[in-house]
Amino acid sequence: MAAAAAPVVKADFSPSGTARVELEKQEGEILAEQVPYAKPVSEVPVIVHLTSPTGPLQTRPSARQNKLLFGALNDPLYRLRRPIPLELSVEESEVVLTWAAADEFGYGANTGAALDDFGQTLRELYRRLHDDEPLGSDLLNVKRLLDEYIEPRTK
Amino acid sequence: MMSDAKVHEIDRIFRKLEMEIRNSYDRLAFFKHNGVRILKTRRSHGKSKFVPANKIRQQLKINEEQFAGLISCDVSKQDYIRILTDKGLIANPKQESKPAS
Repeated sequence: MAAAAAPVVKADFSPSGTARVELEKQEGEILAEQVPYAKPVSEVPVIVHLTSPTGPLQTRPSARQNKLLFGALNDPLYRLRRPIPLELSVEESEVVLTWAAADEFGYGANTGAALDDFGQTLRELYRRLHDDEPLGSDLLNVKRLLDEYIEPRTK
Repeated sequence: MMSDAKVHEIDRIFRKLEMEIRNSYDRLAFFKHNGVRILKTRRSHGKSKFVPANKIRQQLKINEEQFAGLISCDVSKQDYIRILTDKGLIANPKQESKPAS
């Protein structure tokens, strides 16, 4: 196998993610792309200078909003007094919806699945906090918060 | 890193803390102490191997080191009760027994 050239390479990434690579000039001339070289390919010294943009340019635009309102409890006995503010995040390709004030969340493969999971969790939480078990201070606060958002349906 | 915790590791924590779980369909588990529900957390569900471990850690009211300790057995149930007592989430029996001034 023929020995490879030993160019010094400078590469710059443009904001769009493409790269521009130039061979370094030697005495005003651009080195040929391949010239005979005494050393094996694995030992060819190549210096690569890479620069890439940082900040917002590296963030892919997303169609998802990071805040949304949960507005339907879908329960025959209880209903929402007002919408619940949720924060949306994506972890390991799963959508996670968080109600920070109640320290509660739902998750799923997509936003719809996460909303469904959150709804089921909320219904279960409401019922469990309204059974006869004694509650500590933290859960009493959560219960009070739930009562601000959820009420029994009137017949 | 906490987000790397697996479903079986979360289940191990629940067993260690003897979390109250009524049946397999429940999405919630409660930590009880002396008959009082102290806090709640989510269980994993479905076939997904994903578990939002960081959210569960926050619901358990512990830091990353304590959470890792619960998984690795460095933190026992008694240690956890002490942590919650220090945070004021479990009533301190010494303070409760003090006569009102």
